[in-house]
Amino acid sequence: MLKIVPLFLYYFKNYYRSRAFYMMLAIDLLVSSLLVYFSFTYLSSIDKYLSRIVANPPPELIRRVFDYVWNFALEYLPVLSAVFFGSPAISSEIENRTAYQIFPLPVGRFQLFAGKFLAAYVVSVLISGIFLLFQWITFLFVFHILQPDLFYLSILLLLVFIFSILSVTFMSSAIFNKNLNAYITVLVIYFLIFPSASYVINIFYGYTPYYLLTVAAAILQQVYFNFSVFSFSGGFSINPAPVQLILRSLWVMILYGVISFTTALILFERKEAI
Amino acid sequence: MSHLKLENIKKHYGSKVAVDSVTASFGSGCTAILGPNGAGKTTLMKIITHIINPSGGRVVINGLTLSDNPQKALENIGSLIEQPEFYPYVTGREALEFIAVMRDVPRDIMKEEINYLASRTGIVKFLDSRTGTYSKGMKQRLGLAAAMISEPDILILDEPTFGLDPRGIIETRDLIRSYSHKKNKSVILSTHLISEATEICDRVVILDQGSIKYDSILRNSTKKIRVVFETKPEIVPNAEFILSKEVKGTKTILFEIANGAQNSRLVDLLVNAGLKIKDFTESKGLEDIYLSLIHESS
Repeated sequence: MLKIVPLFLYYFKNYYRSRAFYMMLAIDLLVSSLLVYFSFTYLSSIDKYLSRIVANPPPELIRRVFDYVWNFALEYLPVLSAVFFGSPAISSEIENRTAYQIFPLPVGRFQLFAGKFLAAYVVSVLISGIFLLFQWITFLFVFHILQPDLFYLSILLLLVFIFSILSVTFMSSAIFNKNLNAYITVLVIYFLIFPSASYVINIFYGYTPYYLLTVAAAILQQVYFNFSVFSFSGGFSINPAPVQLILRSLWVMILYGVISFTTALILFERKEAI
Repeated sequence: MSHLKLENIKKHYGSKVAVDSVTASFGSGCTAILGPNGAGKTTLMKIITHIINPSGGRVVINGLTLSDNPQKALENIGSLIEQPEFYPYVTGREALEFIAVMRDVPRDIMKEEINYLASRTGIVKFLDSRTGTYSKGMKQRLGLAAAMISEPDILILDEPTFGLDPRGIIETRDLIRSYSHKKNKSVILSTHLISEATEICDRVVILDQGSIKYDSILRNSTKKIRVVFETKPEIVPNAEFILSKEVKGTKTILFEIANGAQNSRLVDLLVNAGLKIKDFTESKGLEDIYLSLIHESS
C-alpha cells in the first residue's frame, strides 16, 4: 500500500518546525522587504535609467524591469532552500543515525525517498511562494494593475527549477554520508563551477553553455527581459526571452531534475547505514 | 510461528570480515547474542533489519527471503539498533504514530497501543515533547516502544539497556522478558553483559570475530560439573539427578545435574561405582564458557 502521504506529512512536520526553515523564512522576509523598499523608493526613477537605453520607455517595459529585478533574487531562493532542505536529506539519515529507525520499516525505499522529496519540495515552494506574494502585492500597489501572464509563466518555470535544484541536492546528499560534504558540493557546483564554466566558455568559445543549470535557471528573469549575466556572448534584448529559449531552458531543468532524481533514488535504494 | 533463519550470512568491508558464514535459526523465546566489542553483533543485527545488505547468504523471516521481498518480510520485525535517534522536530507521540501508520496499525487502536507502550517504557511524561530535547535514556525508551509497535513476531534489540538508569534497566528487562514469553514471539537481543543474557533469555549465542562460537539453551535449573578420572571409565552410573553426560576426551565427563542436587551426591555415586576421581570442578556456567571461547580466539 502506498504510504507516501503519511511519509510526506511526517517529513513536512519535521521540516517546517526546523531551524533551517526559520532561517530560510528570515532570509525570505529580509530579501522581500528590501525589494519592497527598493520598489517604492527607486521605481519612480527607473524610467530615467531606461531612457538611456530606450527613448520614452513604455510602461509595460518598466513593469517588466520591476519583475526582472524581483526574479533576480527569486532565482537564488530555491537554491538556498534546496541546500537547506535537500543537502542533508539523505546524508543526515546516516550521520544522525535516523536510518536505523527508517530502513527497517516495512516501506519501500522509493516511498521513503518520495515522501521526503515531496516534503522538501513543498517547503521550498512555500518559501518561494511567500516571496512571490510580496512581489504580487507590491506590483499591485505600485502599478495598480494585476501581474501580466509572464508572471505566471515564471512561476511555472520556478516550480520546475525547484524540482531540478532539489533533485541535484538530493543526489549530492545520497552520495555522501556527511551533511557538510553534501552542502559544500552543491554550493561549490552551483555558485562556483557552473558560473566559472559559463564565463570561460562565453569568453573562449563564444557561445553560452545553455546546458548548465545556472544558465537555464536564468530564464526566470529572462522571461521578462532577455538578459542574463551568464550569456553575454550573444548580446541582449529588452524583449522577453523567445519561446525557443524558454523551452530549451525548461528542458535543461527537467533533464537535470529527472537525471538527478533517478540517480539519487538509485543511490538511496542501495544506501547502507554502516 | 515466528521464525528467523540466517543462512551462511557474510559481510565484508574490503578485506575486513565483519560476519563470517553465520548460520542460525531462531524460533519463539529469547536468544541473547553475546560477544566482545567488534564481534559482529551489531553488523548481524543490521543485516537482519535490512539496514545493510549481506555480502553473501540470506535472511529468511517467517518463510520470506529478506532480499527478495524486504517490505513484506520486515512486517514481521521490530527493531532497536544501537542508540536510536529520531527526527528532532517531531514529538515522541508523533514518532510513534508515524511508525504505527507505517506498520499498518488500525487508527482505532493506535492511540491505545501508543499509550500502553509509553507507560510500559516510562515515557508518558515526555511523549508530547520534541525528541530533540530527549536524553539518551529517553531516546532508548522511545526506541524500545517504537520497536514493539504492532507487536511484531520478531523483535531485534541491540543493547537495549544501554544508557538507561538502574530502574530503567530493570523495567526494560522485565518488558523484554514478558514480550518473549508471549505466544509465538521471538526476541533476539545483542548484549555484552552475560548477566543480562542469562536473566532475560533462554538461549545464548556467542559471536566472536564474526562467527558463532557457541550456541546453547540456557538452563538456570541445572549446573555443570567436569569430572576427570584417573583411568578411562568403563561404565558410568546413572541417577535421577543426572540430567545429561557428555564425554570429553578419554578420561573426562561433563555432568549436567539438577541445581538442587548436592555435588557430594555425584561424588558418592561415582566412588561407589568404583571410579577413581582425579579432578572435580563445578563450572561457573556461561561466564566460564564465554571467557574460554573469547580467550581461545584471541
